[in-house]
Amino acid sequence: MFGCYYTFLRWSIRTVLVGFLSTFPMSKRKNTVLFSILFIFIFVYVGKNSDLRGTRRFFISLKITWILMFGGLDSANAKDNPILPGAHGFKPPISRLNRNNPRFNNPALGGARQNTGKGVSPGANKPPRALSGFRTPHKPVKKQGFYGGATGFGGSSSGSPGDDSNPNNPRFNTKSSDQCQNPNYFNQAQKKKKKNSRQVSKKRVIEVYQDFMSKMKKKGYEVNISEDRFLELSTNPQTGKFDEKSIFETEGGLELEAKGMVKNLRRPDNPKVDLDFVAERVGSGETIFIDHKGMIDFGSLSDKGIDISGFPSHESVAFNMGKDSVDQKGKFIGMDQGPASMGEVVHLYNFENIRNRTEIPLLMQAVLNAAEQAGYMDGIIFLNYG
Amino acid sequence: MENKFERIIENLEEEETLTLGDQTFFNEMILDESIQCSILGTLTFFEVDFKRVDFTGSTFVNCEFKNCRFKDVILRKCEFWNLTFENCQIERSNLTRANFHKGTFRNCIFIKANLTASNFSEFEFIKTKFNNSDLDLIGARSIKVWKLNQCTEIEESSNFGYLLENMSCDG
Repeated sequence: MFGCYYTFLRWSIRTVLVGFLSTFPMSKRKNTVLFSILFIFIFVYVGKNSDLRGTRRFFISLKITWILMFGGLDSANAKDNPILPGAHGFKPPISRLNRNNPRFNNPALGGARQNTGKGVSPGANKPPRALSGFRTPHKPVKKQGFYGGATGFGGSSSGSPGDDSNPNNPRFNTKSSDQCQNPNYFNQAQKKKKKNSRQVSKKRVIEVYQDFMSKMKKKGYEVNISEDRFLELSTNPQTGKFDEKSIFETEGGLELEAKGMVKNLRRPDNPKVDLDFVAERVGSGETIFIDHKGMIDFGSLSDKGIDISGFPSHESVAFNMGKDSVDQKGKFIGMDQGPASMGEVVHLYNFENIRNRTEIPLLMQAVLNAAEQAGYMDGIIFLNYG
Repeated sequence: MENKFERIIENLEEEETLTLGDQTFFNEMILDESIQCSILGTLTFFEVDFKRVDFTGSTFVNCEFKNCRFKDVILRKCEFWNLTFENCQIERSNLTRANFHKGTFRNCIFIKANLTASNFSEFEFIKTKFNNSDLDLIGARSIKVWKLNQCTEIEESSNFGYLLENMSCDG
């Protein structure tokens, strides 16, 4: 009699539990609440229908609750039971996976990844072959993720500009079967991201600051520029990091300030106004925008044995800089917190990298000629020409 | 496979600027590198994938990029002289304020690239498409844009992006 009663009670409670569980995914907190409710119910029930009292009533109620909740589980199924605390992180072995479950084959969702599943080429990890038939060197698996192993040369080199349409280029077919299987495919290499040792460090910026200050003193400028300010200006406003280009810009802008031409040099408030700095003219207080342009010496390449015979001359580079600058002066006019006219944009030209100092006057002239040709010669300042 | 380009970067001294020339790189993957203000001359990149590479402020002279992919690459404020890009895909890359002088984009596709305030002079666009790219404030001088077999020449434009958007579609 008690056996039938127990079976019926257990069946009823488990039916209620299963219904509840199918409605609400279980969490540890819900498990605890459910267990407590069941325990209270049984504790009261045992109190009314038996002579058990005190600790015996408590322990027997606890045991019944335990048996009702977990009693029917065998050890293999227990791992998959959502009620059991600690079973959440368990990944069932592949042999026991439900193949209709979308989590299958998807490591991002906790499933094991296989290359033999539907839509996945069994040879996905084999070395890719070029379309031309020859075998291309095998890229390491960790890096193949970016184009799914397709390394074929898409160009047919048949002459007409229209022959090689990009969408037909296998390298551009970004949805390889492997990638489609795994939405996290592109992130795999990212996870293994190495530390980039070539990022500009704060220490490096401070060193440049110290060099800059001593250079300004040598030039006879009285400068009152704090290290913090130099660091702030040397931070790329787009990335929030120090970088070589921002340091170079800062040196030019602050030299103008050291010369007493401008004050309150800062990065533009509106990032769309893509000029290096904004400042006020000393004296008039007029707001001006500053852009610092430098030039590299191609001789640095020939020092390394690199043939620079086909390179443009320094003069033609300077000429183009001059032309582009005039165009740049007009680009941001009318933008919120941008320049109101071309007259508010000043370009600094810096030829300090040009080793042959006799070349510099020619480069300056090239900039001026270009500006004249482009129709606007104001707002040009040359740095380091002495 | 060896990643020659990455090895060159790894061998650089701390704070040394990358100055490189007269080399060919084939079938390489260049990943997570910061090589700002580099000077690259007479280089050929064939089937090279660049991902998350920061070239900010670099100068490229006489370089060829064939069948290359650029993804999340920063080419901001770069100077390009005599450049050829052929069958290249440039995706989610930053080319703001880059200057291109003399060169060609042939069969290239820009996807979600930002070319705001860039400049092109004496440049040719052949069968090149721009998808969801930011083409504001692009300056242009002496440009040729090929669509099918028709060529449009642009002497000077301060709103070249608008023309590119219209002329490169379905080309």
